[in-house]
Order: sequence, then C-alpha cells, then structure tokens
Amino acid sequence: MRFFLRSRQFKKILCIIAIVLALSILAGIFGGLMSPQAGIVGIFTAPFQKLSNSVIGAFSDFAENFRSATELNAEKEELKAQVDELRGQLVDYYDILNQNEEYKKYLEIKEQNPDFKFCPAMVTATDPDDIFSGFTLDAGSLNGVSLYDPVITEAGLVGYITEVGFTTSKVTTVLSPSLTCGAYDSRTNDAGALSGTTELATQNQTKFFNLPRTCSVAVGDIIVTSGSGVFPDKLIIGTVSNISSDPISSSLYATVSPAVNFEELRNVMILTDFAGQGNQLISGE
Amino acid sequence: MNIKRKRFIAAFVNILLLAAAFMLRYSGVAVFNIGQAVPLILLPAALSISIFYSENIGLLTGFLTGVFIDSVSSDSSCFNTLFFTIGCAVCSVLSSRFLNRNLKAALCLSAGMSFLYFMLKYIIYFVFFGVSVNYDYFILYLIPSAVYTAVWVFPFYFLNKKLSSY
Repeated sequence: MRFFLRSRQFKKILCIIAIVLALSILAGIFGGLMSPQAGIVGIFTAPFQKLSNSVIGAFSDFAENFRSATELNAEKEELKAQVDELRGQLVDYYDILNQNEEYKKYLEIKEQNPDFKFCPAMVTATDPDDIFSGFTLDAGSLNGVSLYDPVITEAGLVGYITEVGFTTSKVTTVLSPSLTCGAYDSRTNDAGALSGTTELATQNQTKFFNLPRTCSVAVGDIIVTSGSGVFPDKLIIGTVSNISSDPISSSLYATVSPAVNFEELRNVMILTDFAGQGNQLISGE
Repeated sequence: MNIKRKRFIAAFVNILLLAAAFMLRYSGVAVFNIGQAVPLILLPAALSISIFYSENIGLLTGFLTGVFIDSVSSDSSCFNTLFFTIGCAVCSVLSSRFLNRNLKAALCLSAGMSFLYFMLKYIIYFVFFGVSVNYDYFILYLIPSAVYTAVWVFPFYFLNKKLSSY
C-alpha cells in the first residue's frame, strides 16, 4: 500500500482527479456549463442513451397499451353495442317513415270515403304457377278480414279475398277470369263488365267488355269500379290500352292495363267494411 | 356416430332443404328460373326422401310438403296435399319393392311425378274451372317447368343417398 501511495502512477491519478474536480467546481461556479468529464462521456453515451430511451419508451408504451387493452376492449364493446342499437333504431325509423308515407297515400282515400275501414296487410307469398298473379297476405279472419273483401293499394284496385285463414288470406286479382265486376269509363261514363282472360293475363292486362258500339271509350281513359256490392264505386282499376270488336257478339271490348303493378306489390290495404258492402250479393240471393 | 344421431342429422338437413326450397319458391324471387321454366324444387326434394326412407316417412313428407304448398298456392285448396301425399307414398312403395334405388329409377319417378303434377294442374285449372284453354301456357310454361323440375332430382338423390348410407 505504502509503495502504491508513493508511486508516480498514484500521483498522476491524483493530479488528474484534482484537475477534473477543479474543472467541475469551475463549471459549477460559472453555471450553465457541463462538467468536462460529463461532456466527454456524454459524447459517447448519448447515442446509446437515445437508443435505450427509444427501446424503453417503446416497451413502456407497449406495457401501457397492454395494460389498458382490457379497458379499451370493454369500451369498444360498449360502443359497438351502442352503434348496433342506433343502427336498429335507424332501421325502425326508416320503416316507420316508409309506413307513414304509405299511410299518407291512403289517408286521401279515407278522407274521400269516410265509410272505408282498412286493414293493412303485407304480401307473404306469391305463387309462380299462377298466371293471374294471385298472392297470399299476412292478415286473416283474426284481423277482421272476410271473404270477398276488396284489396287495394294507393294506385287502385288489386282484387278481392277468395280464401281466408286465421292469420292469412289469398287474393284473386283483377287479371283473373274468376273475378268479374261492374266498371265504367270515368270520362264518358260508359258502363260494362270487367274480367280477366288467360291470354290477356300473360300480358298483365284485363278485359273491359259488353260495351255498346255507340260508346265513346278511348285509349288512355281511366276505368273505375261501378260499386257492385263486392267493390265500392270509383276505385281505379286501370287505363284503356286498346279497343277491339268482340268476334262473337256485336259489342266492343277494351283492354285495360291495371293501375297496380302486381310484380312489385309489397303492402296492400284490405277494405274490411264500406257503405253498401254486399248489398247486391244479398239482393241477388 | 350412433344411429339416432345419424337419423337426426338426415332429418335436420332434409327439413332445412325443404324449408329453403319452399321459401325460395314463394318469396317472389326468381332464383332458379330459366326463361319461362319455373322449377318446383320441393317435388324432387320430397321424392328423393320417399325413395330412400320408409313408406311412412315418404307419406309424411308428402303430406307436409303438400300442406305447406296449399297454404300459399292460388289453385284448388287441397290439390297439392293430395297429390304430394299419394305421390310420395306411391314412389316410396315403388322404389322399395319394385324398383331399385338407383339414379335411373329416381329420374324416372321424378319425371313421371313432375309431368303428372303439371298436367293435372293444367287440367284442373284450365279445363274443370272453365278457364279458356291456353296452349301457349302449356307449351311455353308447363312443359319446360316439368322438365326442369324433374332434373332437380340429381342433387337431392345424391344427398339423400349419402345421408341414408351412414
């Protein structure tokens, strides 16, 4: 030990330490300056510190993320549920909006005919084998629907009910030969009968026949119901698209394009009651 | 796999297919139509069940299929129920006792049943109910629909063959 303390090497180290200490003290006295040893060491350590800081920062971020992932997931699930709920509400809103628009159109009919009692119904099935475009509705006797109740849309007459179940009913359209009703031309008041035929049904048309040769029915005229007991009067059936002479009798007949597009039918109204319903049927019996 | 489980799977798959065929046909969406030909997929589906299972199952399948079709069909009230019940029962008896359960027999039965179904509909609809006879409808719709319906037996035949062979 004694040799070491007396050695030149020890004295050199002591000198270096003294100089470094003196420089440090001076740097401290003058302020703002980094001690030289720290500066020199800093030159070498700074890049490594920077790197390590970056790595640690990344790790700490990862740890932080990992720690809060459960919370975030819970929050995400909650938000997702909220979005689903709002989306559901939006669908309901549009449904109601569409339904409202539909009902608005019927309101006009209701205002013109206060005696009408409506039952809304939806088309649940269409029979592809039926060339007369018959279909099934989701309303039956439990909804107050009965046999021969007229079925309409805001555009006009669709047909009538020919089979009634508890919750469903089947509709025969104006294209069918089994539906015959009284009708007249709304412009000229020429009256006749309306019924479908197989040939015309394939072209999505129906027949307005028994027209006298002296009638003034023209293409484009609107044909409406005459109120036969099954149907109330003045329900629009369609427009005349062609006029021909009956090959058997001396009368004329007109081809009528129904106002209703049967292929796009979704929602209809069933007239469960109206003034004069079934009067002629009863008197006819 | 035990027998009960296999039977349950077969019944489940067949019911699912019948329900899908029913909904597709009467939803108004023309998925499988080719021109005027509209297949009655329920017919080969019910028929192939009748071929591979017992007479009772054939009868029940036919009855249920017919009832469901009658619930939405525009024509006479119980035509489909009667036709499918009798048709499926007869096909089941024929295939189990007189014919082999091979593809040829299935195709023959399917073609026969399809043509009979569409012919009977035509006769009942246009002749008995007084609707004027329309040959265009017969040639352009009924015959292609019958042929197209008969062809649909292939997928159902192979499916039921697989399901019943477990």
